Parts: sequence; C-alpha cells; structure tokens
Amino acid sequence: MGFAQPKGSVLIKDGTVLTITNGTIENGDVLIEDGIITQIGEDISAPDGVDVVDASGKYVMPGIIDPHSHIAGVDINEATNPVTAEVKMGNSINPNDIAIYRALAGGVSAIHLLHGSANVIGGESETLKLRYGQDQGQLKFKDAPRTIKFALGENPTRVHGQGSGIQPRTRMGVEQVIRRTFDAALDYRRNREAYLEAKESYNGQGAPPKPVAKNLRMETIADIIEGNVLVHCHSYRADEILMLMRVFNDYGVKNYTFTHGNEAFKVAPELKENGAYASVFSDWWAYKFEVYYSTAFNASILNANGVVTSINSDSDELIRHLNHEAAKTIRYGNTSKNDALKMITLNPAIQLGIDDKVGSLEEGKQGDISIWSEHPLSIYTINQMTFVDGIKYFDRKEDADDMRIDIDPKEEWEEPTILHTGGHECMHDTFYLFSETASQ
Amino acid sequence: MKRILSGMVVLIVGLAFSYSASAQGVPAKAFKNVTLHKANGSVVKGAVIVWRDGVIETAGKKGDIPFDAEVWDGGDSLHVYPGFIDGNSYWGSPDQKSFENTPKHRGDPSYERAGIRPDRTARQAVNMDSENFKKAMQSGFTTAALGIKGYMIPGQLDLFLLQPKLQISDLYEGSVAMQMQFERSNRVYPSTVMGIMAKLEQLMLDAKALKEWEGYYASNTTEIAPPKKDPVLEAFYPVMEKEQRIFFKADSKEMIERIFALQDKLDFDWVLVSGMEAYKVTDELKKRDVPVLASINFPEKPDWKKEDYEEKEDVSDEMQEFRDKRWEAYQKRYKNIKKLMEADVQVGFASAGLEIKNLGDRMKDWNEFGDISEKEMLRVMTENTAAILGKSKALGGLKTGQVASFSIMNKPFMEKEAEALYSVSAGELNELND
Repeated sequence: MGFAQPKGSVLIKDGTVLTITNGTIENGDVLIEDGIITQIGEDISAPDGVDVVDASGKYVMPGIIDPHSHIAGVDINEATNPVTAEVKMGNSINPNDIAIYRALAGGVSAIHLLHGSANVIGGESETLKLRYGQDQGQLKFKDAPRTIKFALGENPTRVHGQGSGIQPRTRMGVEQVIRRTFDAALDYRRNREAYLEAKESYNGQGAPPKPVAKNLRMETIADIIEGNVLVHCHSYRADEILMLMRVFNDYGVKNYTFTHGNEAFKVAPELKENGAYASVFSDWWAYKFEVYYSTAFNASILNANGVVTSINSDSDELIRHLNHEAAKTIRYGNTSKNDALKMITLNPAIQLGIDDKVGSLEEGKQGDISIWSEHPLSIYTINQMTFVDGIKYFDRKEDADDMRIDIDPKEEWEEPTILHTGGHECMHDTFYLFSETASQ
Repeated sequence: MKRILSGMVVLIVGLAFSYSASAQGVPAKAFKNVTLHKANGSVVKGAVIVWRDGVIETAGKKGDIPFDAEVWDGGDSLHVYPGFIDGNSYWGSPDQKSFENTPKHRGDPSYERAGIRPDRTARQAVNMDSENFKKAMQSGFTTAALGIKGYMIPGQLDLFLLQPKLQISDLYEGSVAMQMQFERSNRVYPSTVMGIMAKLEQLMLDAKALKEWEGYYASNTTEIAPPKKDPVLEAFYPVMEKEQRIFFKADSKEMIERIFALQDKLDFDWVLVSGMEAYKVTDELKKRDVPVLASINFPEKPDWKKEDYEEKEDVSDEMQEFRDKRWEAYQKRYKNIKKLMEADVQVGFASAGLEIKNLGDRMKDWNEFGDISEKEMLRVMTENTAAILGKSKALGGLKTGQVASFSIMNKPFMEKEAEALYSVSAGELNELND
C-alpha cells in the first residue's frame, strides 16, 4: 500500500542550467511533465496548466543525492548479530523526520538510507526520494536496485568482539565472518533448490524430501553473490579495502562501493582495476583510531584515478550543505567544477544504480532539481527551491516557522536546533549494547 | 443506596408463570423496577431482567417473573447495563519480564529470552487472585480477553467471564487470538522494528517447513527422520491456516502501515489493538476489513490547557505554532474512535495497558473530547467488542438467550460517582460494594 507516488509538472525558465552530462546552458529552461524531464533548452513554452518558475539569475542543477545517510530512519542498527542481512531499512523509514525537510533545504532530493555499521553484514538499505509529507511507502525510490551495508574494522569488532566476546574480534575475524557466511549461503541455496526440486517431483512414493525452510538471511547473502544486491561497505583502512576486494573476487561479487574509505586514495589504482566505487567525506577524519590517517585530497585523488567517487554526509548536519563538501575538492585537489558536482549527483546515482533515472539533467530522467541563488559550489550560495518528480518540496520563500508534520501529543516544546552536529550516525542504536558485559 | 438496597426485601415470587422451575432445574433470578440500558442505545424504565442458569430469559418492560425467581427490587433507582467487554486486557498479568543477563550470542537467543512465546496462554500466566478483576467489575466490566505483558509475542489471549476471584472454570474460550506487538526484548535479537518484522516472517517460514515435514512423516514413517517438536512454531499453524487471528498492538500510523505490509507478505487475519492513530488509515482498515480494538489510554492534557495554568514565559510564534499542532494532535487522538465509526470500520474497546485506576478519568475525557455520546460508548464497549471477538450471539447485550453478564449500577454509567453495585457474570450475582 501507499506506493502511488505523486508527480508534478513545472517549467523552470531562464536559469543557468548545470546539466552535469551535457554542459551548461545559460538562460536555459527545463520542462518537467508528470515527473519526467521532457525538454531542456531555451525558450521553451509552458504547456497549458503547467506552472512556471522564474530562475533568472539563478542556477539550476540536479537534486543532490546523499549516498550515505541515516536520516528518516526509525532504527538504524540491528546490532545483535554480526550478520543481519534479513532486516530491511525499508521497514524502518520515518517519513516525519524533520531532517528530511532540512536536507531538502540543502538541495538534496534523494538519499541512501543505510543500515548502520555495527555488523559485518548489516541489513538491506533503502534508496529514498525526499517526498516530505508523504507516507513511508511513498518515500521509496521506485525500481532502485537492492543494496546492503557491510562494515569492516573497529565497529563490528567493538560491538561483537569486545561487546559479546564472539567473532569478529579482529580484522582477520571480519574476513572470516564474510567468507563463512558466503559459504553457508551457497550451501543453503544449493540445498534449498534441491529440496524444491525434490518436492516438485515427489509423488508420494518412496522417501519423501526433508524440507529446507526458506531462510531470509541466507537468501539475501546468496542474492549478493549472484549480483542482485549492491554492496556499500563501511571501511577506512587500505588493507581492509584490499581484503574485501580479494574476498569479492573469490566469490565473483561485482559492483560495490566503499563508503568512508578514508585511506581509499592509497589503493585508488586497485579500486579502479576492480571497478569498485568510493563514497567519502571531504575532510572529516581522526574521530577514532582507525580513521586517524586521511587526507582532504582523498576524493580528488580517487577521481583523478578514474574511480567513480561521491561525497556523502553520514550526518543530519552535513547533509544540509553537501554542495560545500563537494566544493572542497576544488579547493584542496583542483578537481573540476563539473567533477565536483558529479560527486553529489551523478556519481552517487551510479553507485546506487539509479543513474538511468536521476543524477543529471537529461530528457527522460526524473524531475529532481534544486535551484540556487549563485553557483552551487560558491560559499555564498543559498538553495531556493528543491523539486522531486516535478513537485516542489522546499521553497525558501515559503519556509514556515515550524515545519514538523507529525507532533506527538505528549511531546514537549523544545527550541529547534540542529541536533548531533557533526555526529556520526553509523553507530546509532548500538551503545546500549555496551551497558552491560555479556554474562557468558 | 447500599442501605436502601439492603433493606429491600428479597422476594421469592411463588406464582406460576410461563417457566416451570422443575423443568428448568435451576431457580431463576431477577431484578425488577430497574432501568435497562441496552447495547443499541435504547433505554427501558421500570423494567425487569430475568436470568436462569447463566442465561438471560427476559429483559424488558413487560417481562414476566417466574414463580421460582429470587427477585431484587431496584426501586426504580438502579441501572442495568450489558457487561462491558475488554477486547484485550492485561489485568492480572504479571509485569513484563526483565532480563538482567545477556546471552553471549545475542543474535540467537532462546524463544523465552527474545520474548517469543505464542505457545503460552494467559490462563497459565495471569494472577487469578488479582484485585483488578473486582475493580474492573466495579467499573462495569464482566468479560475480558486477558493477555500477557511481554515482548514481541507475549502469548495467547484467553476470554474470561470475570469474577472477583477468577478460576479456570471462568474461562469462556481459550486462545481466542495470538498477541503480537513491536516490542523488543532487551539486548537480544530482534532488537529493532525491522528485526521484529524479519523475525516474524522467518518464524512463519520455519513453521511452514515444520508442517511440511510433519506431513511427509505422517505419510511415511520409515524413510524420513521424525520432525523436531517445536511448540512455538506449532503455535503458528492456526494463524497460517487463518483459524486464528493475530491481535496486533500498534498505535502510530507508520506502525499500522508496517502491519499492512506484513499482512500482504504473510497473509494472516488480524485485529488492530490500541490503534491510537488508526483514524489516519481508516480507508485501508476498511478495505482490508481489519477491526480495531481501540484504546482510550489518551495522553494527559498539556499543562497549558489546564484551567489553573499560569503562563510563566513568553510564548514565541514558533512555540505557539507548536502548541497549536500539539493540541490538534491531542484532539485527534480523542476523536479516533468516532472517526473509525464514521468510516464504518468495526471498532470495539481494549484497555490495552490502561490501568484500572485511570479508567474512569479516561472515559470521562473520551466522552468530553471524543465527540462521542454515551450511547455510542456503550455500544463500542459491549456489542461491538463482542462482535470483534466473534461472540455477538452470546455476549455484549441483554437479549434473551445471551449469557447473563451485566452490571447493576447506582447511576447512568457516565455520571459522577457511578459504579456497579452488583455484577452478574455468567449468571452469578456478585455484590461489589462491600
């Protein structure tokens, strides 16, 4: 239920149109009809009944896509087991989160709602469009590929190794958890298919087949190995990035993204060689031991090596100015403006498998757009409007005092603030696990 | 009133009427000169109600009183209501179990540790001597589907005809539904809403496989290993066969929508329990024919809406906008049941965690802010709830042939200081005002 997703029509006129894939059009127009971009060019006339937005003096670009976010989530971490591939963030969407509106105010039109990083193999993630005010089903990005969260390093070893005294306690253990789980999934799928075949052919004579129950966890893992689920892996160190690529090569897993990847620049050629993607912070590190070593040149080095690279937020606060995060790649690494914009538009779309639908302004793509007062990479620019599927969900001129849409009758007044400024959301819902030592 | 009643003469009317005592075996009992409040809202003054052997024989203006009846005279001051029915109560339940220790493998806890006990019944867990039953009867309840406080699947609901001290013989029907809620046990799997959803699905898949295995073994006991007994998985069989419903407790719109998603995937019949925001999804509830056992466990009125409140700080525009939204949300909660009725969604009553001591206040609030009349409240708490429980014929009214479960109150039930002086439950008269 609730999956009928609203679509709108609008003509945006006379702006500087940053298409990402086909250059810049001065005094350009973008026509969106029923949620789809139908024309890009100059002097386009508005069809009957279609609203016109005057973008003269402003910049028009694709809606920003955050490939690593935890806003709009109810629970983030099912942190009770090193492998929880059966849980789905699609069942954990909070469509009323005020952070959605704040992200829209920053020009963001889509996010990748990721499971947290407590587990080696976490839950399936969900790609969302920020249709604030719609219900949870309507926020889902229709026909986006399935994705899943993996996590290497300190988080899973801390939660499970230190927290419960079970594997993984070390990075070696992390690798073995993945390999053992993959092996188990291959065995499972073989046994399950053998059972279904035997069941089909059993005619009541002779030995009946012994049922093999459908196992949701193993089903998802087997789907990963078969290439039906894209992996986004929380990772920092170069050695563990190389480790996972070796494991994936052993099992034939392709099309994956290393998220955070603060040392990814060290292995940029290897990433390129394996077709792996990277989604990084612009200049955020040293918040724990394994992230001590990094560089603000990370994204630029990866980009220069041909690695499809995006900039992500992993934060309720950073998501509000991902344009500035992208601009830092120009300041630090001399990345081109268009490549910097790609890092928050087309490249995350590629990493999420939705680049045929969004990420650039092209006819036939979906009408997700943000309009800026100045060039979006300027420190002085301010987002004016954000559209999703041709419907305006943010307009700076209509920004009311209180944009919350679901008030709990028991909720007490609290001065609105951006909470968790700079906070790292990957470990949300996990700290209770450390409140007590495992008894056995 | 008690003194007056005590002084009333209990009459044994010795005239032969339409019923023969010897034919019936058990003497009749009756109240006369009472005001009957029927579940459909009709009121009959100067009426009689006669019951025998646990069944109502007559309830109306011109009811004949059998010769063998033991008769109480209400003196035209007593009010008889069909007994209220609680569609999902925790009265008498032990407190939610707390677990101090955490298993080493949090991800694979025992059923008990994870709070998954569909194999447990309320009659096994409930404290039959709980004072709550008498208090509930004083508030007009005669019937309750008793559940257990717990986590994801606390157990099976049992339908009891209440007595001040409950006995197993008061059980009207066992295992009327399986309890389920998005309540996680502490520090073990499943610890999240998404985990609970995955776990429920996996349990039903495992139950399906076990049932298949049992079927194969039943047809051939020599060439396949015997299936492993698992009472928890076996408890799902009636749900899978749609012979039993899940009473699913949830309040927010989003949680209710998650149950819709589970229903689509797992194909079970269910009743929404509590459902404080059910008014937001009336169309879908109606379309799916999902009844609601609604709670009146409303939030407290905000301080700044109370009569004696004095403003101590400046109210900014933002704060005022917030207050307006909060007050609107508050009022909508109160009008939830009315909205469901207007949308033609089947709606009954469940205390669903509301403590008895707060029942009176919440009912008053419901009446005051809920845009609902006393007659509608009565219908919700009697025949509507009986219908949702599938017991319309036997429970929830004052009709001939129905179970004699009704309350005799000193005043109309929503008047100040109204209480049940007597309660007749399954034909047994209890004097409550002792």
